[in-house]
Amino acid sequence: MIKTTGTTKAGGSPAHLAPFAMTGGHVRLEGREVLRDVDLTVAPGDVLAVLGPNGAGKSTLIKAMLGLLPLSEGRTEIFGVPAARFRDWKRVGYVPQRLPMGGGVPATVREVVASGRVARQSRWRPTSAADRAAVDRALETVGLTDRARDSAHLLSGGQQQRVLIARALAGEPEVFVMDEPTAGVDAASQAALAGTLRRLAAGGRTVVLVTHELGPMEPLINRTVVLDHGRIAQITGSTA
Amino acid sequence: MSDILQYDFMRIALVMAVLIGLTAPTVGTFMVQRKLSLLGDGIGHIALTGIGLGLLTGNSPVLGALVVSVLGAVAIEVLRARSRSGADVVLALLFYGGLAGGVLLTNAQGGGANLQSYLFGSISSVTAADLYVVAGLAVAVLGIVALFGRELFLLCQDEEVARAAGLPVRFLSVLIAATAAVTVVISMRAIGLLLVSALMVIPVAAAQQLTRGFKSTMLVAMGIGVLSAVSGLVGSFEYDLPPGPSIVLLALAVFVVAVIGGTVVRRRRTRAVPAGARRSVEAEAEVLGG
Repeated sequence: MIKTTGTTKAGGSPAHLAPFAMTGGHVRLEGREVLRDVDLTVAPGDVLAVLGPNGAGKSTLIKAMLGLLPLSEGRTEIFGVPAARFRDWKRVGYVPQRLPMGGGVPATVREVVASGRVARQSRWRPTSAADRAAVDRALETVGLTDRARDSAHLLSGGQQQRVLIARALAGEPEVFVMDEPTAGVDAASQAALAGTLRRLAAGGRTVVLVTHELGPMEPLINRTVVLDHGRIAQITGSTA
Repeated sequence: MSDILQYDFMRIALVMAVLIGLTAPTVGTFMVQRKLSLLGDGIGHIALTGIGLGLLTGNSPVLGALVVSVLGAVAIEVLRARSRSGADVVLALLFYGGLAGGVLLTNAQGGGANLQSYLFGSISSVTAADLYVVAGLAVAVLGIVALFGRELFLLCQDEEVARAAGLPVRFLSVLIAATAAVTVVISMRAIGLLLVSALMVIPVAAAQQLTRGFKSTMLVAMGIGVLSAVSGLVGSFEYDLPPGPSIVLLALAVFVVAVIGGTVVRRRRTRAVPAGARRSVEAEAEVLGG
């Protein structure tokens, strides 16, 4: 279950500020310009899909918006603060494309999901009842409660994707940024994802997601951005 | 066993073996997940220069090893972050520089034979004062893991996600490397700098054959670490073998048993899958309905 009210606004910038605002953004990777002159503002409550062919710069765009990749030109802000100086990370939940194997040390589904609370936890305090309850809710939302004790790396691709979404949900952020949550995901998991997205949208959360095809999520999306060769080719829909 | 405990040095050595068995795999779990299994080995090489410096300047070799290996570990992390492409070459330069520097410095001091005891361990020469230092460092290492464990876990899972969660990624990376360096220094008297990395990595590799979670892997690895350190030490005393290699070979034997045991367990689980699969289909149907 996702709370529909009581979004955390404390300790950060005012709630009305745009979660993401990029002006004249360029990103250069290994001498090649992969993002060119991008102007994009994501308003609170937007459910925005970033579309485009492979190599169009979709993942680069969201990583640049999160400050994970530096801009070579232009500026980008998170809740009105330049990305490099932004500190209130508990307001943002990032869902990467996949769960890396690393060196192969296993982690249970619950361990991975619980790590999504880290931005809300103090180093000096043990895991609280509120932390555990948030993890329980996140697992329930994605339908993985009964797999909580299994090794996350042994689940199917679609289930792993749901684990990653649950990790972001556990942090109870205001904004979700999802990198290809439907890539290589079976129909059941796609439908589960659409259901999760519907609840997030109904709860007034902002969602930015990169995808190849909208599928069952189409009716939930109020704006789409189409990227081509690193430029915005088309923006449709209006701000929430 | 009882005649072993009659000797002072063996009582000290046994306590030390327990401490090493606990700490080395704890740090090792994070290192293995970060794909830095050989970091401990490299730090061991760098620590040799510290031992050489300590002997040459008349200071404690342990202190020299501690300072130089922590500095080396920090340097490795900084270089890794700076130069993505040439990182492994930079590491090689540090490792071989450390080894060569150590041999040269100890030779200059005339302590060639002394070097041998640091390379392969010489637990019988350990004193009570050594034990206090090791115990203090072991408490520090376990304390760091307890305090920063949640953050280190996410860092080792996915560095980008850790950064997007606002974690101090660079500080945490240096912290893991520095903690590994301290662990190397803890273990060098007992199992030697050339084998120190083994006790950080092999128990973890063995544990992950049997476990499903990160914490359980760490706990099982600690158990395997203590088991191989203590029984390796006792065995080396009984049969007059060098302790370091005995400990490492025992850990490897546990690894082989774990691989076989893990394969059997997984086979059984696969056979039991139909029930599990049914459960997950039901769960998915529930999600679809809800």
